[in-house]
Amino acid sequence: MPSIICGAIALIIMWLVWIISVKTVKNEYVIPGVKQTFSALFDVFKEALFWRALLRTLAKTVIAVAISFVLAGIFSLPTKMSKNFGRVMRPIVAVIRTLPTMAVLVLILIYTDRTTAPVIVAMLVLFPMSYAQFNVALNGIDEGVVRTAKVFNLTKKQKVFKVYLPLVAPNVLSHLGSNLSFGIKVIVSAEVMALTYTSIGGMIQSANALMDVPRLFALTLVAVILGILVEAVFQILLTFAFKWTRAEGGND
Amino acid sequence: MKKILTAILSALLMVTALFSIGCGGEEQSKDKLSLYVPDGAPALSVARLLNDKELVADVDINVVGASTIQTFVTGESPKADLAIMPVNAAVKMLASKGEYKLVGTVTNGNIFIMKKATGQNITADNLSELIGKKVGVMNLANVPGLTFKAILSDRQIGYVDITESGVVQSDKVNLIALPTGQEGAQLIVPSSDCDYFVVAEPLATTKQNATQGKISIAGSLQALYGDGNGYPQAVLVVKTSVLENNNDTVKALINSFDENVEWLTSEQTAPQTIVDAVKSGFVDSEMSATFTANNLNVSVINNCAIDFTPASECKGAVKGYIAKLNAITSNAWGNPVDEFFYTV
Repeated sequence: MPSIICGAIALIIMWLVWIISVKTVKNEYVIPGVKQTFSALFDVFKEALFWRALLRTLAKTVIAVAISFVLAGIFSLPTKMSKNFGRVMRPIVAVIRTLPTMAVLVLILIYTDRTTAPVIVAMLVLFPMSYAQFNVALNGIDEGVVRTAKVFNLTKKQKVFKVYLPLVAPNVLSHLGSNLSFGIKVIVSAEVMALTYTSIGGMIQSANALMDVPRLFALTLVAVILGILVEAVFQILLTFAFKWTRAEGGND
Repeated sequence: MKKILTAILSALLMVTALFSIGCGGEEQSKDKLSLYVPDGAPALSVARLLNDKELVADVDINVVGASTIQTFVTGESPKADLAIMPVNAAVKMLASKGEYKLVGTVTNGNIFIMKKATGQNITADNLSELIGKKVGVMNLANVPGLTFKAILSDRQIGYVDITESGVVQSDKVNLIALPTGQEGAQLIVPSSDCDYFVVAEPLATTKQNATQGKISIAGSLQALYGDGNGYPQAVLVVKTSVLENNNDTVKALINSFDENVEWLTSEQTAPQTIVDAVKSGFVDSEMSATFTANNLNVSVINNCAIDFTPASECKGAVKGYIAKLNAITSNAWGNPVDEFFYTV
């Protein structure tokens, strides 16, 4: 079945769940109706503040994902090359992964500001994910390629930039879309808690304070749609970017 | 055999699930009226009735999280026959619908201005002291912040919400939004960038004690608002049908408020007794209590300004308060029409 039809079916299912929930709960202050929410959504689209907030939230997400990605790359390469380095990294990454990030948000807020804090929180969540993705990709490199690199006496630098990185690039970059999508969720959540100004999270918090539930739902919908769009765009980009890996004789 | 076993287990699971759905956290007697109150000062106002459930035996009191109270008075079949809730929420959600009427105010403000060691006490005469200063406000977007802004506006004192630029304006009161809950509480420290704070009880007293007075109460929004007698914060709303059919019970509840306050502040009433009474009404037993034996004392109770005023007397104050909030929030709270007030 073409993926667009599968996507449409998924959308219809979610739509039906929403409608059934509205009919079951029968309380606009708990679950607003579809019409109310979309009316609030169109009102939100008319606000200049919304577009500034959207750009800022997106920018924070991109920064968090980019820094996490680069750091993950930097730390995963020595992990691949040295077992001892990997052993040192393992508990550190485990701690970062299990850190209750929203709880440490307060600490981060004391030493930074409400714009920076969500970025740091998102990095704490995304770094372990990216690191694991890099490790899986690096460990998936054909051992024959690794031996060949050894046979040809490639330097470490050559191994990294001419062998490992090109081979893992399609794999790790394929996760970037979902990392961005997940990053949006984390950033918005942190913005809500940190009351970040001019942000989607900040607007959600304000809607909550004013008990404007349709607006709250509309803004939540924005975050969801943004995540889906980002992931979809990345998938399309990757389809074209790494065609060579799917070409005959390519390294898929 | 395996299939029969699977079918039986599945059926058992379904039946259990169905029973679980039926057995919610709250217990309601069909013959009794249900009163829902948010934890905090409103729950304190009925703690005596929770301690001795025979006092107003026809009313089941349910204490819920402050952020969920509106779910019990809205929808097609609201669970609450009576509810104590924030006045702005009551007006926004109920005023135009006719299902509930506002019977009176129950609490009259429990929000305080706190200063650091170098700060001044803030009264109606020296409110301009805050100009050029940074004031950290917990819940800036809701009642505390809106009330503070209304007070400043009434005295033609300019204010500005400090955004991420952090630029402080020397000719205005600079307001900084602090997160609610523990996240915000931990930012109220002597080393904070803020010169003053706006904080509700019991956090105000807790902070004063925890910092050994390095952060102390310097004034109250109650003393600064209007004529200095507070503002309508939480109100009692009652279903119109209940007012018609159970008027005696409603009257008994209203008449109990004065004695409730006496009981709260009596020397014979230990803080733990009050805390246990409130907890006995928790719909969700896992909920964190606002008040504990550590942060509850007579001073805090007095600071919660529990005092019932019937609608006939507080109608003007409620309308005036909502009008001021609407002026700041582009009419976000709606219009408290006369029909919403139970003035019989």
